[in-house]
Amino acid sequence: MLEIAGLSHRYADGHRAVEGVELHVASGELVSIVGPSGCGKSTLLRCVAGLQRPSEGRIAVGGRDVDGVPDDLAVVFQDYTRSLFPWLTVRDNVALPLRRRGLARAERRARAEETLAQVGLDSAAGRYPWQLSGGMQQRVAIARALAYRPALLLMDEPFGSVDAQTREDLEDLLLAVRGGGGGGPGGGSGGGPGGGCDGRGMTILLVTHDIDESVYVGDRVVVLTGAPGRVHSELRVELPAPRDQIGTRGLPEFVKLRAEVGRAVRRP
Amino acid sequence: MKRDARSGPGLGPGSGARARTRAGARSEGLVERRSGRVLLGALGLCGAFLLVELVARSGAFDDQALPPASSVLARAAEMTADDGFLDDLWTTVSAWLAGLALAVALAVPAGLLLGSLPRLRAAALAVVELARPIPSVALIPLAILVFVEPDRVERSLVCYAALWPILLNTLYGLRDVDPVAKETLRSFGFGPLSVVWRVSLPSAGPFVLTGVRVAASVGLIVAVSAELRAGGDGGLGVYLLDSQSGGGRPDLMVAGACWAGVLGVAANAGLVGLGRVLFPHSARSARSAPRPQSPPGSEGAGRGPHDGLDGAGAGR
Repeated sequence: MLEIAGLSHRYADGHRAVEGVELHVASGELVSIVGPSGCGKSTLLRCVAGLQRPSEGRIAVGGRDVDGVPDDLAVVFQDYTRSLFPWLTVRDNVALPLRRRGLARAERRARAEETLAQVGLDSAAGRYPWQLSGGMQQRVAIARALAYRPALLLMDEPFGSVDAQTREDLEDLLLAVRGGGGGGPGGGSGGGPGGGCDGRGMTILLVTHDIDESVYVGDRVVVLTGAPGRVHSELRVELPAPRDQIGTRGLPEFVKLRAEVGRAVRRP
Repeated sequence: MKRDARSGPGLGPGSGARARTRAGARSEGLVERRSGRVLLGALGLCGAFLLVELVARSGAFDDQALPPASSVLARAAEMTADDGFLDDLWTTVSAWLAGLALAVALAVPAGLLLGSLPRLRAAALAVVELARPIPSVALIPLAILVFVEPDRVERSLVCYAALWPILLNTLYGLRDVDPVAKETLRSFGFGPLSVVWRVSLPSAGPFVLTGVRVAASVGLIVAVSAELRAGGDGGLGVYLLDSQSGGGRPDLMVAGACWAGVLGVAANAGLVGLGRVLFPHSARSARSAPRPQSPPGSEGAGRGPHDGLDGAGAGR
């Protein structure tokens, strides 16, 4: 699904953000990317999204080289306040990208409202983003990406500014949306516990600074080194599905993985 | 009205402004509250009215030069029943609006084009900076020569004067568009034209509208100036010239000028109102932008779901 080979990027000011990154992501896989701050995680995502041309290396999505924004992609930006359109209502913000799906107005509206309900924002559909709290705005940005049902979803610290409870709910939503969660590569068979979306396994690249989260939602955790970012190590997460916040996090396997990722992040 | 009585002592001749500052110093709340500002504004207006009335009636000036405020007000009211004046007013308004509309139709697309093409923008800005300082009234003789007919002269001059503020504000607005917002739409696979139409234009909209407001006030000045110079069958300027001829009627002239002022105020209020309807996000930015970090609970409690839809501007 996603192939990254020898990816390096150096900004105009000489700052080397990433260097020689190699990464292969199978279809339907959820890969968490963790690393110390400033290790080029966001640069990596921007290159995959085709928003930035890397200095070196090759990226292919669905077998096609990335040159411009790949088809069937959605990005949840870290800077959600700037990513939402303040002149549109929450509903219209979520519905707008669906124009690319060739849906009629009524269908766009219906799907927007359905997805907003999934993230618990059905009552806010008619309000404007700036009338919502930070956490609610972030959920709108997530709903917008989910409603689009992309083949490849890129998320840049999407749960960074929500409270702990909402964060757990959104993590579970993410697992549910892609059909069961923890299914490993090629997973995504059948609806998850709280599934309501179409359940097909979208491929997700999730950048996070939360080690627990990277293990909890990921099929695989990729640890980057400090700047310039390279792949330090990869850990496969073999946790049983369905995962749940209390049970899964208590498993010895989870605790062990979390410790491994933590060590990898701290000693690059 | 109770406040009115209390600030009474300060409300002598010529003390409208002083009354305002004194009342403001006494209680800060009066300036901050909307009702308080309206009240103080009304007091200022009454003070100015009284001042003009008293000075005019005192005989210090030739009453030909300074008609009393009350008689100006009476003439202005009578004019609403004067078909001749209303025709003149309408002539000015239609030429003014036509010139403005043409300026919007030219300047906004031009702004979008220049804003999207940095090289063209840099080249064009040099031209703009050269052409913009030319006062539109300086072009009246040329316009008369070129366009001949007074209404065409007026319209083209209004359009010329209105072009620059709209064009420059559109460019400023486009420069201010958040790159993250543009990238968001791009990442969903929208092309450059869609990004301009769905992100850049609505984002720059409040700036464009500010440009139109500036253009409207400049355009009114130019419209009346053109009428004063180019004459024609009608228009506010022609009415003023007629009032001037044959001994002159200062009360009519001042009343006519007051109506021109009313046009300006109405246009500004209309455009501000339009901005609140079209761009509620910019109407609130002045008020609530500094506190986006407030805890979720307080926002839910403080603002009902309808607050932003119809009341976003209500607090201003």
